Amino acid sequence: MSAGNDRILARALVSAMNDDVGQPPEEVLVRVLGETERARPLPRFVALVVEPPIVMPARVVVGIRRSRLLMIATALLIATTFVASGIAGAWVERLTAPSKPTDALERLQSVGTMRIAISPDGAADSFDADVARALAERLGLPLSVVAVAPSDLAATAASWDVALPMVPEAGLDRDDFVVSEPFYAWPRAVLVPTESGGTSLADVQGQPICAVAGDLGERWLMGALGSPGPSLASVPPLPSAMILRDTDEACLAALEDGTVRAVVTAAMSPAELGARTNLRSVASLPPEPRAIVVSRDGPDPAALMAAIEATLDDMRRDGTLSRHSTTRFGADLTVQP
Amino acid sequence: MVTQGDMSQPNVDPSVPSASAKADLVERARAGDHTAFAILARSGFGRMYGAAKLILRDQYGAEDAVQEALLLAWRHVATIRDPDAWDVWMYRLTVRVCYRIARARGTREVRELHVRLERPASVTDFTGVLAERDRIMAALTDLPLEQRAVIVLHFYLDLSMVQAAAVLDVPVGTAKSRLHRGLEALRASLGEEPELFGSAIRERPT
Repeated sequence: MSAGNDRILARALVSAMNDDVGQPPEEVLVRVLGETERARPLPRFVALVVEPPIVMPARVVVGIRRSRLLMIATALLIATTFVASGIAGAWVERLTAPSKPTDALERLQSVGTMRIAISPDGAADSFDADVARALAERLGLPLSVVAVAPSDLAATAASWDVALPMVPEAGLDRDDFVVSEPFYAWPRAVLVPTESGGTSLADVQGQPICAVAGDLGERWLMGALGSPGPSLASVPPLPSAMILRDTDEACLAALEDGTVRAVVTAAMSPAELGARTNLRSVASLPPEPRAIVVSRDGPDPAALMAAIEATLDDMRRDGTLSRHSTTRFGADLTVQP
Repeated sequence: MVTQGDMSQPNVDPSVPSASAKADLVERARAGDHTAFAILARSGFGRMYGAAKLILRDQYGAEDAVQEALLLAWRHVATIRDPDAWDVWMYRLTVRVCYRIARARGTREVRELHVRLERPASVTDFTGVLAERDRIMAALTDLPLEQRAVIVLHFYLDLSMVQAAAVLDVPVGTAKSRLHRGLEALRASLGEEPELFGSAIRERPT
């Protein structure tokens, strides 16, 4: 290929594109400047949180690195916890003084910022963070992200408005939370070492298998789930020993050191599993549906949850949820209600 | 390799401010000065609209995309940290909105009607130029969205691959790979003139 032909190509391409574009419509610019003149920019800290960063070689030129944002969010969470624990007197005043109940959505709009809690296991550049940003943007509210462990959600309800707890929706206490329809389902699989040569559940029959204690995987191994459907593993293998661990990571460590020959795990997205050439899936289990929650501790959450559901519907329809899921997980894990 | 300066430039608004003036305008816009923002918006509007129209292949979609991108830019103007990154950021916003519009439409894309001239190119030079342009634009329209976007960024907006990767929020290698595949696809579409489509990535300092 000659340099001359390269120039001919580039010139032809640029010329064709310039001709095709034509004159930009001035009236569009006039209209949008009229709108921006009436609008106010977001405060700097909010804008830094909401706008995804641009990193040119070794420096951030727009926004703020998500790792730094998570550190700030964690520091804010610690500070908020201290403040919450020191307001016992204010609680007494609230109990004795007459209070006017307000709708959670109205309160959110009057405060002007949406605080969304995500699990500390989720990074600021994660699927849940993507959904949190999209949710706040579509509801027209600046976003503040806080890291809250799922087990602490009820106790810290005053520090967040909406939570994406990254845990199965079946495990959420409906007495404490209003729960949305699931918007994605996290996959669960039976994994074996690739070198074992195993390709199906029959290959792990009579072998020690690890599951997370209290998890759906443990119930499946015990035969307590029944038949979830033709496309999923319906009949669990009969292990020689069911090894229970506290976490998926501990089960994978047991697989690696040979303590078990298979694990039932929800530790990896399809993309992550695809990158682990030393592991292979021999069966898929029912995925765990995940939802968005609003605390019942406070004003009536019904209107806020309705707004969240409507926004999720919009994001399903226009493909936003699917796109974020495919980007982060390597597959579309979203579900229809 | 094609070096900068060897090809025609995209349409340039004569009111584009100098680099130092632009840096001052960005600082003022970041502080909330709408007049400064309006000057910046006006100077970049043509290229943003052009990029959107080339990516979406739809005039009305491009108008919506640029409108939404400029609104986002004003709302989030405080997030800019380096005035030199203003253009890259504007293009990032534009491309982001274009992707959202395109994916909301699904696989259905609005295509402009291309009239193919059947007369041989030797009748008039003008006829040949139009025919070639239509063929190139038809082939560009047929490309997948991601490949078309990187071609528009690199050739129409004259961005380096590092800048294009920053706009697309992908690694530089990914951007280069998409560009290569896009050019390969153009070569296949345009068929009888494969020698025109060589290694057309222009490597230049960022």
